[in-house]
Amino acid sequence: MVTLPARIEGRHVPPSPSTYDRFDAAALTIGLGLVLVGVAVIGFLETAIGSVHFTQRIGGVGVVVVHTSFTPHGRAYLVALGFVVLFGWGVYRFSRAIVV
Amino acid sequence: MVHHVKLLLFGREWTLDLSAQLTGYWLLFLRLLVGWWFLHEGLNKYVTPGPFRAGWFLEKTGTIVSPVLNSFAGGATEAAVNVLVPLGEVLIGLGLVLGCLSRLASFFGAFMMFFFYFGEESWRRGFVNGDLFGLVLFLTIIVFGAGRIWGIDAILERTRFVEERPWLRYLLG
Repeated sequence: MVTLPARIEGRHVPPSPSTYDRFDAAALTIGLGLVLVGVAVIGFLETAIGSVHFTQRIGGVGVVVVHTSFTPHGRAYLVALGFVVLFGWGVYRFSRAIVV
Repeated sequence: MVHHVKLLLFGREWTLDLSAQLTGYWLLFLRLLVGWWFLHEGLNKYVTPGPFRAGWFLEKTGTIVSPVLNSFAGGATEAAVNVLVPLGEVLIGLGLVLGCLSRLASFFGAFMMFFFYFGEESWRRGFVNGDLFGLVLFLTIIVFGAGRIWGIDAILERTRFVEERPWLRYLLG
């Protein structure tokens, strides 16, 4: 449902903060979903296939972190993308309240 | 008083029995706890001998936010970050403790926590760590807004200025 601009007694009335349309649902699903996939789903897969990251002491180097499956950078980008989608959605909702 | 809240999620209707009383207690508790966390972090940087230096963090390499962090390393930008981090933490903490501009304060808290969380090089403590929970706590306060419970936002939201500009509620509680 898309809310159109409204005016009551000459006063600007923005869309209700509780009005959610398909775009809002898609943004929330994608944003929160990406965070969950990056943190929980991939975390579960790593645990299930026995390839969780671990620390190891290597002579001359010290303690190093060993990753054997999904790269932590890839996961981090996925999780960050989720938060960026949520941020973008927040900016959209805030802007809509001002502009519409 | 229990409120029956209906919501539509993934094409199916659900109901929540939400206790306004319990929600109020919990959100106030959450706001004060998170507020004190950041207020303490900020004040601690002022009382610790020697000026606060963010250089070690801004010069980090190998993280997904390193390009952003590195662009602030050195010179006037690093000097600005050295001032803004403790000041920001104190203001965010005060905002939440007093319930003043709660959502705006939480936004900046989440912004800082985003860089602390993704400024991790090795993810030695895993992906679920204290920084992630800090980030999620700030987002939770943004979602629910807790400033109007024993907070200055309750007074601000009743002013004519805010009533005429409903979008300001996105910054208040």
